[in-house]
Parts: sequence; structure tokens; C-alpha cells
Amino acid sequence: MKVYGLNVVERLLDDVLVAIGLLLPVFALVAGILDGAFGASGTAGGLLLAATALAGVLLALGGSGMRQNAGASFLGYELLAVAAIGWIVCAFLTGVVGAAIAAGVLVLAFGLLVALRRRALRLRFRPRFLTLRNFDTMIAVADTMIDGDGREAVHPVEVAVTVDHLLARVESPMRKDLKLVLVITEWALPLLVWRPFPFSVLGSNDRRRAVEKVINAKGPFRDVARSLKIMACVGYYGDQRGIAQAGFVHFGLRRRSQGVDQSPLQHPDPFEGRP
Amino acid sequence: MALAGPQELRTTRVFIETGMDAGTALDRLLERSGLIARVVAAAEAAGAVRAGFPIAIKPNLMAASAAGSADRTDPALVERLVAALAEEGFGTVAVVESAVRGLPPVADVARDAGYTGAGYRIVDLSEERVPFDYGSVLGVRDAGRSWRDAAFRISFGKAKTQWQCLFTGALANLYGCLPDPDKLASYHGTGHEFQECCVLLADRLPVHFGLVDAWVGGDGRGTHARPRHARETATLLAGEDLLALDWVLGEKMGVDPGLSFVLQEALLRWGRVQVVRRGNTTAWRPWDNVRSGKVASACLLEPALRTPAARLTLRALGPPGRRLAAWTIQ
Repeated sequence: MKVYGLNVVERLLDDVLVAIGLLLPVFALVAGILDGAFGASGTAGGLLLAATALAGVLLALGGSGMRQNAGASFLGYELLAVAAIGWIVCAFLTGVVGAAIAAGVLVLAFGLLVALRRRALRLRFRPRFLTLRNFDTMIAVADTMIDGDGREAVHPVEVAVTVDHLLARVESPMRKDLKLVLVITEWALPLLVWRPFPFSVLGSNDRRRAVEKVINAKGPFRDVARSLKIMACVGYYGDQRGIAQAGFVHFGLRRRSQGVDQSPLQHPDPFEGRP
Repeated sequence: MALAGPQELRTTRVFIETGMDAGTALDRLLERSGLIARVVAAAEAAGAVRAGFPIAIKPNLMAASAAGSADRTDPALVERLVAALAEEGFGTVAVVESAVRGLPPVADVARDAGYTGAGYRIVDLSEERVPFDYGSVLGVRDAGRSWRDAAFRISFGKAKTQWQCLFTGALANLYGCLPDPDKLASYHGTGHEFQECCVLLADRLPVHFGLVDAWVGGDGRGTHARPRHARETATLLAGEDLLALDWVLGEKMGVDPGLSFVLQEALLRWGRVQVVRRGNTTAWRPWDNVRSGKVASACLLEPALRTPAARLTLRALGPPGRRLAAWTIQ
């Protein structure tokens, strides 16, 4: 019984990714053989076909392990978008109908994959405040910041859910800043360790290296590190299991609190009787 | 500020009963699961007179393709349950259901299905709407008075496949307690998905016990447009925790219960539960489940199908289209 287990839309996405992933290299091969029909000739045409085939391979790899191969999936999506744009340009430059059809099909495939992914993630996590990308980042942040050597009491997904629900409840201008911190973490932090990929698709060691970089950094990046620490701690220790693991016992449950009158003190209204 | 709730694993039992005769099997199930004893205990705890202790039973009745025993709870089993309650002196029993836009009134459907009304009332929750604060995604909406005011609530669902949430049992059956007849307009869609509405109702108006009629289950890969296949499994299930009950039901059907949107939502809201299974847990064979790809496609296409134009088009296609346009997840 998994609370945040795979859902049917994710399962369909897996299958569609693999199906599209297998079809794209075949299409690239056919288009290479019949280059007159698709207008993909010369060096640029060869690169376009290679990008199409590679996008397919990456998507198939991503679909064979949604969570384990998140990096391949991310690159596959990006490359598919590039290939679709490439086919559109090819259609405009050559005026070949085959290229236009290929461009249309690739754009549709990209749209379908994006819609499926968004729906799947939304159904699985139901973020209330964070965007889907923010949520992915927050899971990766929790996984990185809470290094319990296998003794973590709370799963990173649950940490992210706690943070998301907390941010949805509070009313503070800081909320926007925290969102910005997650955006910076997702896109800028990996560049500090020369990894041109989003933070959420990096491996745990590389994520750790990126975070260590900002912990030791000066200037605005230092605030990013602080914010990440606060969010991870709020998510972890905002959960009863995290609290229990730290050894904290709520006052009402302590032995010395038993039988103690805990009703709030009543003070007279100091303004009563004044004009 | 409230902290996140503890995710302690609670333990509950689910009883599975089989046999040659449905009525006798239900009697055994009631005895094993201790349902009647629970009702008696609840009445005593409330200090109420048994004859006036309000009990509500929600059978599966208004399924859009309700053409036979494979689609709705067997009325004979519901009446046997009412009789068992009457034997203990409980005389204020309501069999509740709400209307569905595009389908005949509840009373007509109940009469056609074989409900006699002897010893109990058949209540259309849509006709006795009262405001109720559900909170969360529903906020202040209507609730059925008999369901709201019942001191003991029982969900008597039907075991069947469902093209929007894989399968339904006791938990999805509660969707029919939401009283607005236009279910698609009120309880589907972004911000209040059907599974959220269904589980929220079960959270705010808790059900004390669940039963599932799988004696003649309904399987098949189709939609509401066609009746399901009647599949004789000769099984009844019962339990106090609807999540656990439907989880075991999914296992009996041979699907991963966690893939059901309704059970996923229940897991999100109530957390995990440790299930102790009492009875034959072997999956039913043969049993034809809806493909997960179809459920996912329905999930993606539903916003388009829910528009007035799409519903009008479906209705214009004739009886199957009309049934499809009036779907509910029950």
C-alpha cells in the first residue's frame, strides 16, 4: 500500500513514451532512406534525423524507468521539442509535404507527452501551492538535505507535501521568494558544479555537491542555502514522525503535564470602562 | 498552526464470505464481522431507543447502465440486512440514494430493481437537501438529511469494474450520497475531482461499516453505455474500514488497488492501513478488468466530455449516448 504510488496516467505515460521512443528511430531510418520524401538531406538533414532518432532512444529509456531514468526522460522531451522545431524549419525551407506531416506529428506527440506528464504528476501529488516543477525540486531538495543514512523517518515526497501544504496555508510575501529559491535551485545550482541539467534529475551525489557549493558560497547564494535548509527542516520536523525521532514529546503527552490545569489564564480587559 | 497528522498504521479486518446461497452467506458474514453487534453497541452508547435509532444504508442503485444484477446491489441482500436489523429491534432504517440527471427517479428505479419498502423507507437524498459544510474542495454544499442525520451509516456497494476508476466497491458507492442530480457538473472537474468529492464525503460523514455484494459481480472493459457482464463469484465482503474493504476487493479482482483514483485519494487522506484478511483471498478467475490505459484516457478526455456541447451530442446518439452522458462512478 503506497500512499504516493504510481497511477494509471503514469502507467499510460510509460507505455506511450516507449511506443513513441521506438517509433522515432524507425521513422528517422525511413526518412533517411527516402530523403526526397521528407526533405531531410545534407548535413543539416542528417543532424535532424539523428536528433529525431536520439530523442526516441532517450524517451524509450525514460519510459522504461520513470523515476530511475528521469534524466533520460528530460533530455528526450527537450530533444523531441528541438526535433519538432527542426522539422518545421525543414518543411518551410524545402516545402516538402512529408516534412510538414512529420513536424505536425512530432508537435502532437510532444503535446501529448507534456499533457500526460502534467496530469500524472498532478494526480499523484496534488500540489496546493508549488508548481509541478517546484514540487519535483522540493522532493530532490528533501532527499539531498536530509541525509539520515537510511534512518529517515519521513520520505522525501512526504517532506515536500508537508512544505507544500504549509505554504498553501500561510499568508506571507516570503512565499513568492521561496518559490523563486526553488526555481534557482532547479536551474542555476547545477551549473555551479558544471551540470547543465535540472537539479531534480541529477543524481544524489551531484545534488549534494551543488548544495555544498551554495552552503560555502557568499552573497545571494548563501540565502538560497539557508532557505533550502529551512524548507527541508520544516517538512521533516513538521511531521509527527520527524518530531518523535528527534525525541520531542508534546507537552500534553508528558508525564508531568498530566493532571495539570492547562486552561488559558483569564485576564481582565484593560480597556473595559474607558471612554 | 496544526502540524501534519501522524501516519500511524492502523489495523483492520476484512471478512470474505463465500457459499452456495447468497442469503445464508450474508447471515454468516454479518455474524463473523459483528455488524449487528456494532449497531447495538452504537445505539447503547448513544443512549437511544433501538426502534428510533436512525440507520442509513446506501446500496448501489442508480448506476447509469443499471440493467441487471451485475450493476447494482442485490435488493434481496439489502432487505435481508434490514430484516436482520429489525430482529434486533431497529425499526428506523432508510435505504438512501440520490437522483442522477438523465435517469428515472430513485423511487422508480428502486421499484423496478425489486425494492419493496417493507420495514424501511426508500429515500431520495436529492429531495431532502440540507446545507452542510464539507470543507475542503466542496465547501458548503447540500447533503441528504437522512444520510447526515443517521446515527449509523452502512455502505452496501457492488463489486464491478468501472472505466473511470478501474473498479468500484463500498467507497465509490458513497458518491451516490452527494445529492445534486447533475453529478458531472457538481462533483467532477478540476478543483473537485470525483474521487476528492467521494472521499471527502466519507471523511465528513463517516461510514460505520461497509459491505460489498460480489455474489454476481459486474466485469467488462466497456463504459456506462453498455451493461457489464454478470460474473458469478459467490462472494460477499465486509469490513469497518472502507479503504481496506475496497483494497481487498481490488485484490480479488486481480488489479493493483492502488491504481484506483478513489483508493489513491483515500490513502492520501487517511494514510495506510494494515489489512487482516479473513477468508478466501484468491483472485477471481475469470474476471475481465478495465485496462489502465482506458482509465487514463478517460481521465484525460473527461474535461472535454463534461462540456454541455459534448453531453448534448452524446444524448443525441440515442440510449447508449444518454447513459454515457449521465455517468456516475457508482
